[in-house]
Amino acid sequence: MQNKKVIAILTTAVLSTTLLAACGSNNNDPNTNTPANTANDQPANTNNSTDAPANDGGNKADDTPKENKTITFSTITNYYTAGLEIAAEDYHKLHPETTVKIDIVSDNTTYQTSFQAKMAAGGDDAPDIVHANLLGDTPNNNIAKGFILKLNDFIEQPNPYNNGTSLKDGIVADYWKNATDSANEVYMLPFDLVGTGFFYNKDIFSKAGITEAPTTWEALFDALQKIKDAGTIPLAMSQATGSDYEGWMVGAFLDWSSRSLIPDTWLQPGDARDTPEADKINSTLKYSPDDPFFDVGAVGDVERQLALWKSGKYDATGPAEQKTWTTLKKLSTYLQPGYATMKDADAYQLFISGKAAAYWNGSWQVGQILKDQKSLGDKAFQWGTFKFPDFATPDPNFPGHPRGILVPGHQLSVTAKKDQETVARSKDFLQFLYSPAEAQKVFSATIDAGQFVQGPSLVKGVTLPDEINAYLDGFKVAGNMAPISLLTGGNPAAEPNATAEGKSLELQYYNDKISLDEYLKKRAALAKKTNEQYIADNKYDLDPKTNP
Amino acid sequence: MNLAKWRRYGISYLFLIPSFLFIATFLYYPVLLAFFHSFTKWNLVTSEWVGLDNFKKFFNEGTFATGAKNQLIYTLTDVVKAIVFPLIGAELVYLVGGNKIKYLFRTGFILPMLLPGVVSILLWQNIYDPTNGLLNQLLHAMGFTSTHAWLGEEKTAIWSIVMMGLPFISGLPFLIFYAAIGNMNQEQLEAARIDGANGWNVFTKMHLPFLMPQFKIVIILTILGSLQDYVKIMILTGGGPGVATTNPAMIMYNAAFGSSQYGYGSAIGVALFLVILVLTIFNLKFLKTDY
Repeated sequence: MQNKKVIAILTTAVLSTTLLAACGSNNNDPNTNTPANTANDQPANTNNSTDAPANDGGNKADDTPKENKTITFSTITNYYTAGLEIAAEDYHKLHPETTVKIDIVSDNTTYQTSFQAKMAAGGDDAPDIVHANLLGDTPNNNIAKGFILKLNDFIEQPNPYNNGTSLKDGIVADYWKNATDSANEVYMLPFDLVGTGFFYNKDIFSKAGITEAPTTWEALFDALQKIKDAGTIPLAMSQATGSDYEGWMVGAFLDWSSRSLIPDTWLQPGDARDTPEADKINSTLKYSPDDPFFDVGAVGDVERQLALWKSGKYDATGPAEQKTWTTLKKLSTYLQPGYATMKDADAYQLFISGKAAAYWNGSWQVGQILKDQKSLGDKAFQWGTFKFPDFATPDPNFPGHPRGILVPGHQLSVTAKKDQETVARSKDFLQFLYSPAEAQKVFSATIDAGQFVQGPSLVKGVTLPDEINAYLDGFKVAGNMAPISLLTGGNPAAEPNATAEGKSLELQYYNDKISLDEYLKKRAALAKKTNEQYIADNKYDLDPKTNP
Repeated sequence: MNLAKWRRYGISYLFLIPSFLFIATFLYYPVLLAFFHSFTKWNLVTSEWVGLDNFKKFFNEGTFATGAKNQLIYTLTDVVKAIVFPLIGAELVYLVGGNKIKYLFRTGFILPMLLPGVVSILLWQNIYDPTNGLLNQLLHAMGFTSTHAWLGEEKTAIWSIVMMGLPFISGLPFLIFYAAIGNMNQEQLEAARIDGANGWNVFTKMHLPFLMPQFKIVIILTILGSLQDYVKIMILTGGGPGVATTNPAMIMYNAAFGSSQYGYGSAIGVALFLVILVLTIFNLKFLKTDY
């Protein structure tokens, strides 16, 4: 009996010791017991400027082992995912205590909803690095709500992974204006440039006797007619609800015809919502038909847009709108059958399978086409890109040249987390990602995987193959459009199904059920209905001097 | 509950409680929440009480009339498709001789139930494809020259959605009718035949009255499914061309998930719930059965 008691006590003691040891094992985790160089953010190999931070990593005396952490980089399916995963692995090799998880979300809506909901719930489960343009609110609001960080100081800091060159100097300077919000706060880091344009099958074009890519609407229609006569679908473009790629064209036309009115929508001194920062930006900007970049960074105001709409300065049924919709109606006669409900993926299939001669989309599609061309083997075709065209004869209603989408595509922001160590590591990973050599790896791996290289890199020092650059040139339009869409299309935010209703009117016009005149009047009436709803919802009085 | 009852049924209650808690948490609670939010302007982050504004907005929405008209078409045709064709199928299988043949047909009609709904919708999308679709190719082979974008033209889009699933012998109604016919009193049927009733008489005077409870359940389930269904519309047409194929559930989806107007989306959901409730009560009250 006595022996049994002793054995029981001994067993209990051993078990207790084991449990206590297990409880404390975090501190003895081999992964946590980081080598000194890691703790200092400084790997042994300092010869390679990209692989190693150039500075000493701060306090050399700080040999405290760092806690293992995972930072989450949330992105969308195919957006550089292969390249980002390589960057995450490379970073983990340098900093074993930090794991970068590339979290791939299937679509933009899920991305937005998930981010807003997680941040509203405290943000602990939200990703650490996010796409600024997919967050479901304006940068100002996201900063004001404490969802993302201001990066003004961060971009000035020396980047240890780029020989001390700051992010500000390591990224093409022209696009920093796109990275600031209306309070002049930097909210994102631009990674690349995206643009919209036409892809075309050179083989089909040349068989139809067209050797040059069209540069005017007249030349484009001429080419599309020849292709149609030859029995091929001239152009594939989706106009399905939720996948309406014609919207970019509508926007480009409106931007072209109403560009001179854009300054009327900017905040002005004395406006209730004006700020010294906005004044500082807007006072340096001025409309010029010859300067397609005149409005980059401008701080606009919705109430001013609505006041402009109400003033009737832009005629929603006037000659410019008539020309826009006559042109788009003519274009619709060259589209694939079923364009009104066909999704973009199916439109793309028509192009890549050689059934459609041209395809309207954006620079992010280049990687996919390159991949598909490889898998087509003998059936691969010569292809190229061209821009949204001019009119052959200059029209005073459309001054200058058309603009399109031309903005940073991959816009990365840092989530405002409570845990400062996580924030610091997220920033460090971004510095690593924006080093020329790592960014080059990301681009190369993405091209190899056939994913979205969205456009030319904005990270200085990254070079793309000539072939890729040639394709991307077709998307470099005159500038980034800023159409005041509620002048003619109203405010869909006021009535979620108004977009579909507007599309229904448009299709009635395209199918000759209503005349151009009727269409423009009905469209203007729909815009009036949704704008007035929006004005009422937000209690605007259309006087920017007062704040509702 | 007294001790004796507790002793008798306690274990059953204990086993029921977890399931009920799950249902209450993940079904009743969100539904109650939706009721509350239907009176608010809610975007997941902020919520503001707006009274009945969301409901007024729904009924004044430009697409409401089209959506309601389309829903009527979908629901009526869905009910017809769920009653007529499975019933014909069940009667025919019941009539064929030989158990093996019966088994073969029965399995044949039920097997498609194993196919995920989305696969079936995508299959029909391919059939309707204007460039490579089976339907156009079939029509061309028959000598018709015109090519239709079945889902892309306003005139044909909604009827293309309605015709999806031809010959409409869906597994569940077929099984319900077939099982009921098989359970009928064979002696009564035999007696009727001896008395001179022909096949049509037996069908109309004996089968149909006997199947009333089955009709009732199939009609309720079909109306319920039809009013809630937007998946096939979203996949096939996205509610287009324009708004030609939209329905209230689609309008709700666009409001909630397309524009983050969750309060408005909840109001449409509540309105749909009330419509379903009224139709179900109407069905239970006026489609009388002895069971």
